[in-house]
Formats: sequence, C-alpha cells, structure tokens
Amino acid sequence: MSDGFLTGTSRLRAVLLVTKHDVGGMVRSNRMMIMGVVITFFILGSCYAVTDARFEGLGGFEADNPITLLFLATAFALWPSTLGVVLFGFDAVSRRRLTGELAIDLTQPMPRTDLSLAHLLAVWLTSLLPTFLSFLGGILIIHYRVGAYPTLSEFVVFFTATALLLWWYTCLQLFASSLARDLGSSVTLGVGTWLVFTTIWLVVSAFVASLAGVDITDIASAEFDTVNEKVDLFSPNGVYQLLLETLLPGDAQPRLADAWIWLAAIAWSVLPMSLFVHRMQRIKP
Amino acid sequence: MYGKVIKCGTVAGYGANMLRLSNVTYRHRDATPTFTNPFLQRIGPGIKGISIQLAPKKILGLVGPNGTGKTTLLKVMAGLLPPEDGHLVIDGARVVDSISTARLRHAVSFMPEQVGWPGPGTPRRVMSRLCAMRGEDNTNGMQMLDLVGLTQRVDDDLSTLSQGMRQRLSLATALLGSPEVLLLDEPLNGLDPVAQAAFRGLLRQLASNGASIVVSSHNLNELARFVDEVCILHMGRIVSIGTITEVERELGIAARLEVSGLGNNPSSAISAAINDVTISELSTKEGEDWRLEISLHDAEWDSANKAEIASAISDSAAKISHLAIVTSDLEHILEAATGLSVEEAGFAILSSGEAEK
Repeated sequence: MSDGFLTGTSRLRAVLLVTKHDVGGMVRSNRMMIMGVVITFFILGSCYAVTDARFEGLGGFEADNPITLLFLATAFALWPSTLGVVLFGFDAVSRRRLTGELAIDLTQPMPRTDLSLAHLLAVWLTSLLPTFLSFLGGILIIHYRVGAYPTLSEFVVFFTATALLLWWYTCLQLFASSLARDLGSSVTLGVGTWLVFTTIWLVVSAFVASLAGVDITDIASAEFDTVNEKVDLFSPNGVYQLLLETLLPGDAQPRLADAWIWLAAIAWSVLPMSLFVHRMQRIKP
Repeated sequence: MYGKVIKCGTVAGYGANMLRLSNVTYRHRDATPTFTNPFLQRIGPGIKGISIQLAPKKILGLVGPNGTGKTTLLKVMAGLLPPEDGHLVIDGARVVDSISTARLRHAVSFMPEQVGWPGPGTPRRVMSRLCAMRGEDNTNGMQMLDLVGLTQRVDDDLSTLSQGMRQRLSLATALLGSPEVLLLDEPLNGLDPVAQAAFRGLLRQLASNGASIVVSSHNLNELARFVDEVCILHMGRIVSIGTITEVERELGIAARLEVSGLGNNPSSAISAAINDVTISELSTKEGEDWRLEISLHDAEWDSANKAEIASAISDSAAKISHLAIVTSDLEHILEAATGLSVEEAGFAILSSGEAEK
C-alpha cells in the first residue's frame, strides 16, 4: 500500500465504505426528511390515482394491467424522484469545494476516479432508496386495487429503467456541481437541466418536427410520434419512457427498434459519467 | 490536550530530496466570459519560478501579505494544483504518473485554511470516512482526534463545534497516516492562546520526530516563535529564505535596539563610544525625553554590545527607562525586500493579473 494506491478488492472496499458514509449523511439530512415524504406521497398517490375507476388514462392507454398502470403512474411520480436527485446532488461537489473538504479528500491516497465513483453511488443510492421503496408500496396498492402483480420480467425492466433514469440525472447533476464554483450556480445548472428534460422537451420535439415538415398541431399523429421518439433518445426522460413502453402491449409499443433504445440507455449511462469523472480528474479545489 | 506524541514519518525514510519544487510556476485562471468570447480567461495571481527543497526535522514558515501566493504554493506542494512550468519532485522522482502521485499522497498532507465542516456529521464520522479513503483502521482516526484534544467531542454534531475545534479537526485530518511532509495553511487562525501554545509544541514534537512542516501565515511575529526558517513571498516569488536572522541580514534590516529615557539625548555619546552604528530618533512617548533606534552594521546584538550602549548612555548623564531588541515585522521585511511602501506593495499584488485569450 505504501508504494501506490490501494488495489483490487481494497480499492472497491474503499469506494463502498466512502459511499456508505456519504449515503448515511444524506439519508439523515433535512432534505431527505422533506424529499422522502414528497417522493413517497407522489408515487403512492399516483399509483392510487391511476387505479381509480374514474381515471381515464393518458395518451389513449387502456389501464387494464399492472405494468400499464405503473407506466401511467410514472408520468406523475418521476417528477419528485428526478428533482430529488438534483436536490441531493447539487452541493455534493460544490459545497465540499467551498468549505475546503474537497481539498482534504483530494490529498488522500485514493484515485480521483474512485472518489468520483463514490460520489455518484452515494447520490444515486440516496435518491433510489425512497423511490424504490415507494414503488414497491405502489405495486402493493395496484395489487390491492386490481388484484394482480407485474410479471417478474416486467418488474425487473421497470426497476432497471427507473434506476438508470436516476443514474443519468445523478451523473448530470454531479457534473453540474463540479463545474459550478458556488452553490447558486450549481443548483441553477441542475434545476435548469431538469426543467429542460421534464417540461420543455416537448417544445424541442415540436421544433424538430416542424423543421422536418411534420404537422405539429396533431401530436397524436404517427408522423409526429416517430419524430418525437427519435428526439426522445436525446433526453433521459424520453429514453426512460421508451424503455417502459417496450413493456406495453400492442400499438403502445415504441416505433423505434429496441436496440436503438437500449443503445441510447447505454450512452446516457456512460457519457455523463465519463464527463463527471474527467472533470473530477482536473478539478482544482 | 495534545497529551500524546505520534511518530510522524521516520528519519531513516527521508531522502535528501524528499519534496522539492524546481522552478515551478502556477497562475490562476479566472473565467471572465464575454458575449463575443464565452471562454475568455484572465490570468490571475499565482506563483512564479519557485524553487524550494524541504528538509526533514525542520519547520518552514511561509510569510507574505494576503494574495501573495502562500496558499497556491502549498496546494502545488500538495499536488492539488499542477505546475504550468517546472516540476514537483518526491524522493528524486518527478510527480508525473500514478506511482509518484500515490507516493505524494501518502507522504504529503495538507490542512486547508478554515475548513467549514458544515455537517451533518460528527468528528468521528469525518475521520472514519478519511480512514476508509486511505484503507486505514478507524482507530487511527480516533487516535488523531485524541491527539488534538477532541476526544470529548467525537460524537457531537459538526455544527456545534467552535472555530477552534474545527481547526483542531482539520489538523487531525492532516495528521492521519503519519505524513512525512505536513503543509498547514494559516493553522493558528481561530485557536485560543492556550491552544496555540499547545499547537506549537505539537509541531515541534512532530518535527523532532522527522517530519518536514510548512506553515503559512501573514504574521511573522507569530511564526517566529516556532519556525526554524522563513520563506518570504511577494507577488508569487520568493524574496528571501533562511532563518529570520539570515533573512534580516540579507535584506539589511537586522534587529534593532530601541532605547528611551530621561535627560539629555545620548546619541552623540553612543556614536562616540561604538563604531558602525546607525542611530535614528523616534517620536517620544509620555514621560520620555528621548527615544532612539540603534542598528548595528556588521554584528548581532549580544549582552556585551548592549552593555556598552547602556554604559555610554549613563556616562552622558542620561537615564534609561526602556531598552529592548526589536525584530523586524512583515511590513519592514516587505519594504526592504521590494523597495515599496506597504501600501504600494499591497496594491501591486492586486494589479498583477493580466488578460489572456
């Protein structure tokens, strides 16, 4: 150990221990008290609402099986979860940089790549915890209301897609946090990115569709849907929705080939993470 | 407090070139985006052409006014800022690859100035996290907390710690892993006088165990109490380095004797009695008839020449009410080193940046 950095399992153990410390700190923080409650209410409430007999569905989906109901619930439920990532992660790097703690971290004999990974895992797991627990509760509500559970494969794909979405936002937010020199800029970058992907993306899709000569007054048309799906590959929320749509029956399936969707998912998993790790290699405390 | 002594490095492990900076330059770049050039950067202050070699068992004081490059130099030594020019050498090898970087990380420890420690968390959790990063046992972290006198506060929330306690926690993090080189940025800030005395004692013990310690401060008088050598920085450059006496002599501002009293002004009597002295008259204080500042040209003050002065004053029928050696403060040293007044030197620092695309 004295001649170099830790190696092999010791290195992995160090990453996991630092992650555990950081998760412990964030789980006990005041913002978890608030966001945990908000995420739980949103997800449980959404699952309850979409199983109500008076619910008419979204986008013409027939809400007749558990995975379709979960899919519909995500339209409301993912807002607080992704916002949670932004709020848990906006100061993960920038605050430590401001307070001098980052300088202490960077002088330790731990490779910066490993430190970056520990930061990513900590914010990701912290936001994943209330989201997963709430969706498990949501599945129980759906079972109680419609008498069925999703299949195991649906369950795995749903939770994998949700975990990936939170991972993408984690990478983006930590990259923003490492770029910003103050907390205000960090939260502005994070919330700005979140707003673009959650609320403004339809405008981007419509703009691209109009450039392609598609009638944007009819967003239910097949032509608009095709363009929209392609544009969605460049948005984490879009890729997430496309991944979930692969579980849906019949004509609710995406028009794009599954390979493109999974390729986009891989790209979103790797590229923002690489940006963040690269940034951390060069960050000056 | 500070009741135990840890082994900080081993003398046998030190090479002659343990940590060395060779002609290192680093200048900060501040983003100053404009509408036409969003990537415009302005070169700010930094350090220029610094060559320095740390010695084991020595405490080096880095002295200079605010913004002169002390923190930047410490961060370059710690490997946190990459030199633009020149290189950092540890154990004879340039710090360029992961092996030499890892060696640097194990050997060199850095305590930043005024770490916030905002929490949530406790000193125990802070040390435990750092132990995890280093692959060390948690008991090492607890020993360091014990060493800096935080045993009673290990499980208190960080937000409840005073500034002095936070400084101690920062010191504990720097001591983790028994570093061979300890870089401390303004470590005495926020410590009460008793803690400062204990801190100075601890540093001396660490140095006697073989550690090489660098302490930055803008207060030369404070550093003069425990450092072996001082390094005077001005506008990112080393102006002078050596013991305080060597620095003063190099700059021609050796220690002066300040004497005041009643009766006739004894200046002419002193000049007649002792060769090679410069006598300046100072403004008197209440109850004094005269006040003089006496400098020796080619000698240091000792009991013999002080007695000669006292005797000359007595022979001139004057009475001494006050006699003391006055060491140079930072203002004197900077004035001597730069040829500028303190105000001019300070403003020169602020205007040392230049724009660059």
